[in-house]
Amino acid sequence: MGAPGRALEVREVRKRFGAVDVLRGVTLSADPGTFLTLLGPSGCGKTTLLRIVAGLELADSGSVTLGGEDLLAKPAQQRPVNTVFQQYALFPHLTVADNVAFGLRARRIPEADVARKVSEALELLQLGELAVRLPAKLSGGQKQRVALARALVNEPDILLLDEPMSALDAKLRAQVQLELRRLQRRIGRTFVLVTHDQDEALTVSDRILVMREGCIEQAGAPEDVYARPRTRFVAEFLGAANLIEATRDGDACETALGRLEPAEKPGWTRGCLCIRPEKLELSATRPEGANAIEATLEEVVYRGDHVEVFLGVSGLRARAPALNGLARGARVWVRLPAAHLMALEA
Amino acid sequence: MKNLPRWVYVPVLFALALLYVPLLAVAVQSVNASRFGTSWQGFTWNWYGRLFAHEAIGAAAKNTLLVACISTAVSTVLGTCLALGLDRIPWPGRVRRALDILLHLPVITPDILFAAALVVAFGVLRQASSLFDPGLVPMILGHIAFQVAFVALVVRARLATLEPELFEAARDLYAGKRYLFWHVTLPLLLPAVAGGALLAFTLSLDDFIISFFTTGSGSDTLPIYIYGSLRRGLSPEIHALSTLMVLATVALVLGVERLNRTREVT
Amino acid sequence: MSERELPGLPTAALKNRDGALGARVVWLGELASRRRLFARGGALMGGGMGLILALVALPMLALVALAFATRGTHGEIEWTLTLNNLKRLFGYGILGWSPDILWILSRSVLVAAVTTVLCVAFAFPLAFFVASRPPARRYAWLALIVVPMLTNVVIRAYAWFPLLGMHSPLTKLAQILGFLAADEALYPSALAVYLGQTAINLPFAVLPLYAAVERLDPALIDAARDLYASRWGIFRHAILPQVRAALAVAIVLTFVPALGAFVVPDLLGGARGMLLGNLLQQQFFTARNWPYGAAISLMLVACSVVALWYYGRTQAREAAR
Repeated sequence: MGAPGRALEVREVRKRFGAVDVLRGVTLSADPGTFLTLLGPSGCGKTTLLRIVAGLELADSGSVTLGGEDLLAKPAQQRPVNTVFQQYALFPHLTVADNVAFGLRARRIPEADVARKVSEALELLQLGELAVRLPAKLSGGQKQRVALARALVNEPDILLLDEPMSALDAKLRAQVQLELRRLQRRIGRTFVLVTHDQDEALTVSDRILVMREGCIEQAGAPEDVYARPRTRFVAEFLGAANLIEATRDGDACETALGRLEPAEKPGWTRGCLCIRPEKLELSATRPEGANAIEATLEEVVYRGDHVEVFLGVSGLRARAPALNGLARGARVWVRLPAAHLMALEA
Repeated sequence: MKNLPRWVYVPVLFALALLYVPLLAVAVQSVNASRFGTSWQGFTWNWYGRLFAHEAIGAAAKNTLLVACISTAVSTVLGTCLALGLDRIPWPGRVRRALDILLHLPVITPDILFAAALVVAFGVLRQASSLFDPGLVPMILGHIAFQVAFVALVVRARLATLEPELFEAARDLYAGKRYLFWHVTLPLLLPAVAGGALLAFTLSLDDFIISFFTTGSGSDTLPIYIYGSLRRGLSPEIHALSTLMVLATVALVLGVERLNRTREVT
Repeated sequence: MSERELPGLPTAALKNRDGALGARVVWLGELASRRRLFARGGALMGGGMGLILALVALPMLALVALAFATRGTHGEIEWTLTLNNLKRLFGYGILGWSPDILWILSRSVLVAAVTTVLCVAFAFPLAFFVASRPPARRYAWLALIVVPMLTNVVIRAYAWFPLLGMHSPLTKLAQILGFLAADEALYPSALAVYLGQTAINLPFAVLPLYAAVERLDPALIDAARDLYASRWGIFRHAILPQVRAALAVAIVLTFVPALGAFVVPDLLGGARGMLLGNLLQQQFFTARNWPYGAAISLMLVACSVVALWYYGRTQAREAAR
């Protein structure tokens, strides 16, 4: 089954609010049926970009097209795009069913079709029993599902989700993330999610676009972006990272930890190396090969399924399944495998 | 706020007495068989009965209701539009503040000054048309001019509580201007519009000075009639009439309260 | 950019010219030009604002101008500019200087001031009392305060007649105690005016104070209870700073109408109790001397302007926050 919908293309979109450049030429594309996530800290412009696609904000320049058709020329109510708002923005005077039917009725779709589509949408999100409730009587999770149903019932080319989990508590959030991912796979439409939560981004996305100060810093599949962060910002924002200041000397780098050899030669002379904590290898005896240093176990934090270790050099952090008898204060050997030691762009 | 000092109840009781004892005294006199109220001479509905047979009072009651109904209907529509035009448009801050102050003018102006301003305004307008001669037309216009501000303030307070995302969501869900108004804006504002209308109606009934300054022959309202008849001395019929008007106010206040309750539910 | 070009057409000129009237904006999800939105706002407000402007704002400005005009022989207005009306306010009449008008003005201010003080003094306990009721009951108590406020002022003023009249128990008591001669009643009198004025304006002081008292931060009061032993200390240092703005509103809402009172002094004050409002009414109707009436109203215009200015300032402050 080919994915329904059309491809979204955003080109060089710029937006200024007063003296602030919120978007500085953002370009991205989404093939039909992908789950795209805009990830970034607050103020990076991700919500503004979403609102521009929805038609709730005007772009200063650039283009947004859907299957080649210009979207920016259309007002919000004519775009085949629907939004799930951060606080859901359910109509408080309408029942769940009427909320879901809103978009269909506004387009004067025959009432028989409305009834059928609404019940399908309610079914899809397991809201059947709540059909006649008012939004004030719903829990946060239920509200979110109503907001999803209200948007999806219109069969939009693109579904936009503006931090839809932020109003839910942490426990529910993890569950809803999974459900959202499954839902997207099942209906096969393009979802564009905005979030500042890296776990959420990693859980649900086909592609993650990390945004910073109005630009896209890095884009790619979750595992690529996580494993190969291009910049210091991405490395720090997505997951934990050990950052090591370094000066290049031939193929190797001089650092506070000594001489390290990344697999890929850095393009700079002074810069930063990065390695994820779980890639550090700890051992009691000196390991084979390069990139090994000796350090003290300064702090050991037990986290249930793993232990987190703070080493006595340069604030280095490691993560290991178990410590095999090593305790605080012990001297250990740490190896930084070259394949996982990445040179970040300046 | 739980443990108030005991002595607070003294001024509270005194204040409530200040508000209610006179009204109760009038109510008692309205069922006192004594014509001059010098002593209690037994219970009677007599004065209420006479009220309904009284021609001048009937005419004044008709005028009062006519003025209240017309001015309320017009000011509710105008006031709601005013609130929408003020709140739902991206006016520059300075313009908005100026409009806001203009809106508060009728609220803050003392009645007598408001009435004097109306006298001047209609004095000028009368040059153009005899429509503005003292009587019901200027009275109704005068009532609208202050009611409209109150209605607008009530409706605007409600608008301020509605998140802008509701309107964006409606647009996002394919609603055009009209659909948005009839299916989102108006239903959400309805309790406030109704509350504003009730307030406007009450204000119109409550008014004396504006009516007094704009009335002509044959357009006397109940308060003007009462005021005029006081010059001829107290009468039990006036007590009965006043008691009925206080009860009408009570009914209206209860109505507004009921509306407030329903508003809380949604 | 013309408006016909707007929705659904090529976006050659998408560039948003900030502030320009023709610039396109998206406002509450609607794509339109600033000009079109302003036009719609103007159309929506036109009726209401037009009435306020034509019947209240402009006539008030006209009153200011009128104060410098001259009364013609038949009560018409002649635009011979003069300061005579203002001079009359200071006692310089046709028959030389007399203090009568100054008495009326100063008495008006005094009555308004005393009324305001009394109203606020009673409003504080009332506000605390209502706020101390269980939340479900508060509406009922507030309604009890609102009902008299919305009752016609003529009724509320004359309602004192039976209580203060010649045959009332209160009058008899005052006669027995020797405060009154045997043929005198408690009204018309200054006392009756103060009673009537306080009763009528009291709710206007209660409502803003109640709104503030209800929102009081109990933590601050508890802290003050630790710091200050006396209730006065708590009131002055913990409560008063929190309700100061509401207190200002209460004062404005009582003082301004009290200064313009007409019905109460007219019905309860008697011939010697004339105040500003009665004088104003007299000049506009009986004497048909609009310019002098306008001059008298200047004081009220000034009060209203000060009140509006104060309101505007608090609004601007809130906006700045």
